[in-house]
Amino acid sequence: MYLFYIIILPLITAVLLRWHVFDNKKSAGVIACCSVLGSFVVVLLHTRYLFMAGDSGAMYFEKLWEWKILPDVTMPFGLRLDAISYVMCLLVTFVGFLIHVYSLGYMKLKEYSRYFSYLNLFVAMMLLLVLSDQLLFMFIGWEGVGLSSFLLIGFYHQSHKNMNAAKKAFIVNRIGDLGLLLAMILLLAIYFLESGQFSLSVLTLETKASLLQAPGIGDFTLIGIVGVLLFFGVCGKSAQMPLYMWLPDAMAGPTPVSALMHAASMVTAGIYLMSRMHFIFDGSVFVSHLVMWVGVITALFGSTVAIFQRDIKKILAFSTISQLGYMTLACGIGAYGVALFHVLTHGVFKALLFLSAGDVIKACKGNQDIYLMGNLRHKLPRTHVMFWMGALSLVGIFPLAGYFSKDLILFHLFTNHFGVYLLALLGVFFTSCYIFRLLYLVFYGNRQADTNQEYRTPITMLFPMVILSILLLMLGWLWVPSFLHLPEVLPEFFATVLPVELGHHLVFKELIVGLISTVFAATGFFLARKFFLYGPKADFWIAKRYPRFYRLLSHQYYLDELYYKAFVFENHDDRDPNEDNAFTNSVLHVVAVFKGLIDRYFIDGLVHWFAWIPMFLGSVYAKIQNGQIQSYLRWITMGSLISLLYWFLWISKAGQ
Amino acid sequence: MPALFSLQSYLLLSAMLFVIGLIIVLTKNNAIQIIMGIELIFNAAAINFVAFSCFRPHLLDTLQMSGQVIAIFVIVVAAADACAALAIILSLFRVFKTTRIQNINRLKG
Amino acid sequence: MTFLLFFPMLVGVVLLMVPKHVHNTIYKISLGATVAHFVILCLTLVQIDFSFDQWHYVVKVPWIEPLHIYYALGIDGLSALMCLLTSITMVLAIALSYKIKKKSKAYFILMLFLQTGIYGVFLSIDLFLFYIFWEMALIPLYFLIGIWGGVRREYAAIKFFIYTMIGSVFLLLSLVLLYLLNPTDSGILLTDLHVHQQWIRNFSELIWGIPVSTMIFLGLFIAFAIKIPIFPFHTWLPDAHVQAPTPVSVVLAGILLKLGMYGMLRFTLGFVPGEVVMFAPVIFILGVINLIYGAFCAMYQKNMKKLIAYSSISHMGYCIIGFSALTFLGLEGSIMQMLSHGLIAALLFIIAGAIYERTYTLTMSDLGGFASQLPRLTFVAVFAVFAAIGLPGLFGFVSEFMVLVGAFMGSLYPSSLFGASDTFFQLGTSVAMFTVLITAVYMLWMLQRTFFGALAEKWTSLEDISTFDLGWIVLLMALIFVFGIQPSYLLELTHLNVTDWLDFVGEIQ
Repeated sequence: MYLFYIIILPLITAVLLRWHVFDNKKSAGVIACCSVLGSFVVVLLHTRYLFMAGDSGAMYFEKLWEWKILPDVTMPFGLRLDAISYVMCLLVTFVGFLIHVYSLGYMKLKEYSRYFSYLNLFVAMMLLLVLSDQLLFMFIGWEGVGLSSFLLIGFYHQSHKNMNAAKKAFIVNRIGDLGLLLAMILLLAIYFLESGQFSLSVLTLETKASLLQAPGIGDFTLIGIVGVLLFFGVCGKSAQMPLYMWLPDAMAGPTPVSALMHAASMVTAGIYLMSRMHFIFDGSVFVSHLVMWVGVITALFGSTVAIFQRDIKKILAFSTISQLGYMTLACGIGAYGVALFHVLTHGVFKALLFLSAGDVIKACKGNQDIYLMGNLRHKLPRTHVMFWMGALSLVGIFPLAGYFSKDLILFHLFTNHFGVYLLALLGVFFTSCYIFRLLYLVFYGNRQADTNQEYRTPITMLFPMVILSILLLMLGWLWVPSFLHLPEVLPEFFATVLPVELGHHLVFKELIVGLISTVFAATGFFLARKFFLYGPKADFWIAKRYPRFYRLLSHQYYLDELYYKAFVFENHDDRDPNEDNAFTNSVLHVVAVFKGLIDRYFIDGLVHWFAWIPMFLGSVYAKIQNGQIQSYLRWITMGSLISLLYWFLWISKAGQ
Repeated sequence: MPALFSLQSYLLLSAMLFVIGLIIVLTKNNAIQIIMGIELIFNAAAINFVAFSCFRPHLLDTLQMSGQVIAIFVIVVAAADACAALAIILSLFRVFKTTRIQNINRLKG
Repeated sequence: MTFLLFFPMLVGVVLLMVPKHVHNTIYKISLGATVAHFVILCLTLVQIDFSFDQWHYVVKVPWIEPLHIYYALGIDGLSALMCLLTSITMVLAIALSYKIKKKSKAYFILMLFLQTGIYGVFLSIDLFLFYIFWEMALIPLYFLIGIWGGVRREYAAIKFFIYTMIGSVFLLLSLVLLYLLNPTDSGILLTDLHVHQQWIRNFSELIWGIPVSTMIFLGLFIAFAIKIPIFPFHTWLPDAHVQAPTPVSVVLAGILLKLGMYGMLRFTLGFVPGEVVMFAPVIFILGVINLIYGAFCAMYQKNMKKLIAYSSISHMGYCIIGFSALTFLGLEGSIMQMLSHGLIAALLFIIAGAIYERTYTLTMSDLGGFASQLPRLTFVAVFAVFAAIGLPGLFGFVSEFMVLVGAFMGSLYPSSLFGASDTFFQLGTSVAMFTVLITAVYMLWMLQRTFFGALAEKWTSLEDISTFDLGWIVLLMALIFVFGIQPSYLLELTHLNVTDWLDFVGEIQ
């Protein structure tokens, strides 16, 4: 069996669809869904290989081609299936398939090929990212999902607002990629110079990781530097603290896109990378601590900002940022398996939340402002139930999936880093606040939302949501706390590739942790219920009582505006109605103008000056040519007199 | 030199005539006057030749009167030259309606 | 080989006889000739085994005896790659030239002569012959830009011509120096590089206090630096590219810049590698300036073609830093970047040309919203922009990555101007990497401004690109994609060259 087909199937479909081979809505969508489903099936068919791989851990490797850099130096490109990639593949293909089906019901477009083509491209790129064996190959997928993100966020390209969001996403990603690129270059250089092997494949990197123990700059070991650079790349892709700002804006794309990319798949690529490169992050204490702190700060940031947002999708976006913070946190403390488990569960429940939000948006005729919604539980009863399930899973209530994954993170923190544990717990409280605020403002209350009266949730939208909710009930049991003495499926599976601790058997501690987190979650729940059951009046009350606090939070701590002022490049966009400021004095802009002017006036000026010299000299000499014969004659006479004089002197000198 | 009119005085005469003729050519504004100046130059050269033929006969090997022969050549050439020059000036006059040299500067630049 | 070289010119001469009015026939003849030439070239190249000997199909005929000038042609890996690039770009340029209606006969004849000139540069082994063809490539360009160009075409043409001429003067100086001081009896041929390096290095006399090798290097360097273009000498490029008609821009950006780089690689590394090592840090810094300065200037531009022109300057910076690092990856990456930039810049200019033909304006604030009106063109544009940004999976990334790794692994030798250093290149490469980001910024900005957003009233009646155009463009895109995934065939052609150059450098130490 070939792993290659997993990737090539959606890729070819994407290309065909883009050339409008099938333009009828039904055909385009159905073909796209089938291709993703096909990938899913192929992944499943490879399952048996995982368990017969033997000593090298559950792994199946397939070499595709190689680059011949020098006659004796080659760089192989291949695909690799092991525990991590298998789980990620399943997630991407299955959730991807569900979202394709959902899109069939959700999107109302003039032509569907472009949309489904891009969605398929995204799935193909994500699969490439996850399945590739070496970093360079993975980088193709990494940027490929960035490309698809750009294309999909900017899908409604008539609006500059969407395009700006798409551009922002790609560029912020690129900033992170600088770190990743430099890390790859560094790794290649070191490995090649020391061991003669020109390869970034994970196996090579891992087995020769000791090479990196050498000191780099100052006190930092090379492994530390590489770790920081890799983490910078992760921050860009997974929207961690310094590079998060593209994610809220990315909500300008269609809702299924947000569900797939910015909840389930693309943003989790960073976590995947960290798990793959775990030996680097384990090798340096500084980097691990950095990762942990960035994770916890992001988690708190995301959850606090989400509390006062008005747009459904923005709330969910910040929720994603916050949950990604938790995953990063888990990686930072060395619990990579736990992080991946959370990726899995988060993918499911966040997708469910987004899909339900999509349903709500459609019912409210495209309105996304929760202040204008309310009392929707009668209109959309099934969505209401599923939203509850998603919300409960998000805050981590037993027995839904989110409980198990979040609890594991908290447990690991509790035992090792108590201070951070407290902060994470605070994050749970805030999470609960915002999600239940959202729930109550949208589905409860006695205001009547402006809805589309004949709207019924189509079956194509309902089906995926139902499947996801069922999954939520089942997923958690893959990794149960060990005191329940049930088979630990997932950790054993992961243990083949990652350093995972198995079987703690610390009953008391686990129970305590679980209880405490539930208590915090419940507090948030009751608080939200109290304030928001009847509408957003509480928001206004807080805004009046604590205006600065309110404004700080609702404007995302003003960070986005800071970025805008500092870095955004606006150039003569005076015709764009969505951008009011035609001229921004940002750093980049100033530099660009400066350089442009230097080039035009200074350097080109030098060239023109250089060209002016002959012209000037020419004009001077041309004055002799004034058309007057007599002046010519005078010049001739003068010249001959002088030469005669000189000749006489010379002759006389020679004579002496 | 003890003699009254020696070679040098003729040479001096011829030089003076040459210079006068040159100055006329260089500074006069009327085309006809310039031609007169040219004639003067020619004649100065002729005087020069004759003077040498007269005072330094041993300078000329073959013929005792080479200088004088050349002087006749000079007169012929001067005449031809005067014709050609006058013809040019006539044509110029037809085009420019003036004989003032200063105004004929079409070859400028 | 001679046939290969002169075939386009012969066709040009034949075209002279054809009457002027049959545009279509002229077009078809030129296109047919160029495609045929490409096919012959491919057939010739396929038969060569590039891993075996370095030079193939060598033609060496004594020409001007007293000065030991030969008429010598030959092909090796690098030349083959460049010839391939030339023929592909030329095919594209001529294929898309059917819109040139005024004086079309002269236009096509000039294009064919230009083709011969460029091939001559790549195929000639004798230095003097190289110089002849180098000049020969300039003259048709002067006319092509000056007659069929944009608004300020005369200014651009003169500027381009004279600026490059000044460079050629320096090349001539070096050439004269080499020929006069040549103690051997053989000519100055690329096949005898070892011999030349020997006597150049051992020449003990100083000229005005500078050793001969440095003089030669300076002459060569300035000449090629103007062509590449390297930082202070780059201002002819924006004007020339903007004012030239589309197919000529394609040729300019695709091939002409590479002439300079080719010369730099071949001749400086071939004759005076010691000086290259000595000046490596300076060259590197200039390359980094090219990268970053070019990128920032591109951000400032309001004219689309000027933006692409500055991006060309920026991308050639990659070639320069790869070259100066003198590692195998750096040199290979430099060659790859020549190829990939040739293809990608050609694509970008084709798009710019397509827009200009429809809207007669290149000022980006006037454009906007074409995605809904011209979907096919938008698709091509998105592809081209992401290729220029260096999206992995496409050719641009391959070369950029190789250059960056190569530059990173470089180290300064003790004989360089800055002394021995290991961190110089690492720091420099880290700085140079910011270009990746800035390129994304201005390219995406251009894409958004031109193709996305609301469509203005006046553009609602534009036509999309024809299938004929699209066919050629798709071929180009396919090439960019295929070589992005598997560049090995191209890489193999460079192995011998790179190992030779590294040997030269190694011998000096």
